[in-house]
Amino acid sequence: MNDQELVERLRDSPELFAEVYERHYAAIKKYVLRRVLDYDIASDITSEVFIKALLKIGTFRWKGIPLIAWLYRIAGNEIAIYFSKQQYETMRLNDFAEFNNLPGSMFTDPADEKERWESELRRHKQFLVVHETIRSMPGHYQEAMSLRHFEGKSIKEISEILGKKEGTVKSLLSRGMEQLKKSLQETRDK
Amino acid sequence: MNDDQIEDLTVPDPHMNPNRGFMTAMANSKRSAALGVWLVVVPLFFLFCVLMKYFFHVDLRIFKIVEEFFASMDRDPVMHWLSPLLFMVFPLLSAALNAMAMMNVQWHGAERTAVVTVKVRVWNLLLLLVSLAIVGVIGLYLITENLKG
Repeated sequence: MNDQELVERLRDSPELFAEVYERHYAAIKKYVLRRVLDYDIASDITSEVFIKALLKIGTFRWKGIPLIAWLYRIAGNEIAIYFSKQQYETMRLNDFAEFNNLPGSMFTDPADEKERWESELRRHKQFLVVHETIRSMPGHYQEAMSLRHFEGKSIKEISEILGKKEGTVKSLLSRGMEQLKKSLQETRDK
Repeated sequence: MNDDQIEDLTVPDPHMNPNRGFMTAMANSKRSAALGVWLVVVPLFFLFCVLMKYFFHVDLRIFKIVEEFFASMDRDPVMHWLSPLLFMVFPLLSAALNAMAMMNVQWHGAERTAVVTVKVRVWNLLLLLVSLAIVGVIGLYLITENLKG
């Protein structure tokens, strides 16, 4: 079942959302982890992304943009909320009684996944340096640069996720790259 | 770092697996806090009036009116059931709701295990403590009154 068929069937069968979760959980979780670094915060944000997607799926209209791009956009918004407040309040699925009949398949993380993440992070020092530099940029640069350099997304994919024209994305990436190189140079000189 | 190193940056890529389990709060946090306020507002106001009159000796007419109202409630054969409801049952209910709002239950179907975690939420915690304080004060009063009698 492709994305379009899935979206159309979701309106009548909300339990199919579990399929959305299964397909895209890993990609979204990794994106959030690479942006916020903290495993527990990333878990909360990822849960929130899928809760919000579940609530909004009824109003999602197929426009040829992949479902994952929409999920990335929700994730980007939630990450921006976290960065602006430096704390994170989550909803809980139980807050919405009409979804109590969904098959339980969400939102638990074993302790060893956290350990794996922290161990991976320690092995990627260059990533941490670049991450810190990107983190100091304005929000729209952060998103574009993260999607390009952390997620390996193409210009077209980034424009679908951010809802911006490809020319705008190229410009963001070009200026973001200049800032990144300048900051890395300044760090080296210190 | 040069341009190629940035373009070819290796990023952490741990294995992620959506797990089979379910986590839910036992009660809605905001609704529990809102309901909790309504459940304790009357006994809290009564205790406030008692405190102002007997401890701080502030002699306002409103405090006398409130005290007489609740005393008359006790004397009324129909209304006398309202006091235990307002001063014990409602605060206990508020305490229970707000405690549940801070508790999350994780059910692991394969292991048939429920894991309960507590996430402190300021307003729920405040209402839990206020509710328990009300029950404590009223309970203590009832005990001392019984001992006297």
